[in-house]
Amino acid sequence: MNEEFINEYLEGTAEIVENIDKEEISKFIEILFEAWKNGKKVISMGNGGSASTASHFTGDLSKTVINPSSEKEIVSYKKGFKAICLNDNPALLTAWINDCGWDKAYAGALNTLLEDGDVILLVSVHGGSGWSGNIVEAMKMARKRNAKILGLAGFDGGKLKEMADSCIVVPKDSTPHTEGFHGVLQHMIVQRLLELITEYSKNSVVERLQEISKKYDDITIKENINKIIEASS
Amino acid sequence: MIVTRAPLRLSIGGGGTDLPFYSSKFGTSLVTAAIDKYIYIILERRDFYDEYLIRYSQTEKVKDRKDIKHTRVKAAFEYLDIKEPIEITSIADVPSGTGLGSSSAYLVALLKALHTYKREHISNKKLAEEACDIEINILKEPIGKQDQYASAFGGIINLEIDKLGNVVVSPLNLSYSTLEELEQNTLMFSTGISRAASEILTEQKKQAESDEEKMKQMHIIKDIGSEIKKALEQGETRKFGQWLNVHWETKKKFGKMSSSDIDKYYETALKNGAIGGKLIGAGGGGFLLFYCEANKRQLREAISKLGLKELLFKFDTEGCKVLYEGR
Repeated sequence: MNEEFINEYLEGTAEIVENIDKEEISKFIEILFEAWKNGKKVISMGNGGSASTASHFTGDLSKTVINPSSEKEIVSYKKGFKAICLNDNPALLTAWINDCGWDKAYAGALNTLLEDGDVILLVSVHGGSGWSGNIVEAMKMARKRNAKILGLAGFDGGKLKEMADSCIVVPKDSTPHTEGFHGVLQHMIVQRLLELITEYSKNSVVERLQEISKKYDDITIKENINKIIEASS
Repeated sequence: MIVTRAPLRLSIGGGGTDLPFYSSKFGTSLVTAAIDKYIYIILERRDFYDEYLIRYSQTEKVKDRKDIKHTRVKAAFEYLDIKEPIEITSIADVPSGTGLGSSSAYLVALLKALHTYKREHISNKKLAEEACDIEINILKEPIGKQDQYASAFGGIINLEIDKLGNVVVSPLNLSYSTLEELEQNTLMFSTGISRAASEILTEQKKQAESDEEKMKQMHIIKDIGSEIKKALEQGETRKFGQWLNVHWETKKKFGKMSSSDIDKYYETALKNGAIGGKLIGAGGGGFLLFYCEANKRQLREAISKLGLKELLFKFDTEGCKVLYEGR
């Protein structure tokens, strides 16, 4: 009874998989990886359904990239992204909207938080055109602060595609397909970052030291590991 | 008159594994860096006298070279068969017994002066090897080959030493910006403690040879030396700082290496912004080296409050050289 609809919807998704710009996704990942290496912040935001994607993305950038669900311990020297989601703080958000209007909702918060080299990550189906003036204001603030702009968008990508350092546009003019596929992209990006960060960390002092301690069967190195973490943090 | 100079050095990574008791069994690889602090040797003819004149912290006037008390001068004169009465004066930028390899630098500069006096050209390699031969084989000093090579070659170099004692020298492949960062971020302070390196080195040998766990620490120090080389060549200076910390913590496991005063200085430095550091040279005193990125002012203030003096330095790129040659 629903078969026709289901098939058609899924065919739409298959079309997206076929046509999406893979090089752009790769660029998006590189920018995030650089930010992690340099200890920069990633500040996400979105409106409506995109707000929950921004929120979910932030959680994964903060935790999953260094601690997939199979690991049960906090390892103090493993650090994820310094990730913050602006729409997760209703008090702050509504304060700015109440006093300065919808367009300033995110730019106001960024004014306090955003520093040179940080990244803002925007999720917006229409790329800030029409209703999402707060996304455009946020990008203006990012440009002022020499921060990178990343975007997940749909339709023609709007202002977001125009202004971002990297913007992945879901190639289908459909809001549910776009929002759904943002979830796919978000998880894929996080999984790749997990791989990159794990590989990169093999060359860290702590990991190399653990190798050496195994090689010589030396338990005293464990004390050193704590000292390095304290010294370099 | 002839004037020569040879640079002092910082042991950067893997120091101590050049000691014969270790390197003759396992071979080694270490990183060492010459700095712009020197031992100067002034050699003057004494055609109108019939005795040698040797000036250092003491003054010796001696007719027969076998009566010279300064062991290195005596050995060098005998090694190169210097028969005519000459005058040797030495001046040092930094006091001796402070872990910067001044004894070997003295000998290297002296040999260079004597060869120049004899109108002989000598390569850096031969100069280093002659100094090693005199110190290790003739004077029986319990030292390795790091200091002589650092002094003769200058620069920041890697020494590969095989079990037979053959040395291969290669300069570290450092970018200009890495070198600049290193010069800016490494700080040296004098502990004010002067000590004889030979005593500490003898103790280290005794501990390593009698205790397998200690010998293991020597292997680890060698591996850390390789990690330090890698970090520097990749321009990861912060990692260099972290490795210094590991290096020191490992080396400290040998008795007499540190003291409660030195531990206190070190902890103070780490609390005030240093990422890592180590005592330079054999241990027990001399200079402390720290790597610090931000808060250098805070570090300097905290350390100077403890009464320690800073030694400002840059790296040397020239090695041992003749500064003046007159006839």
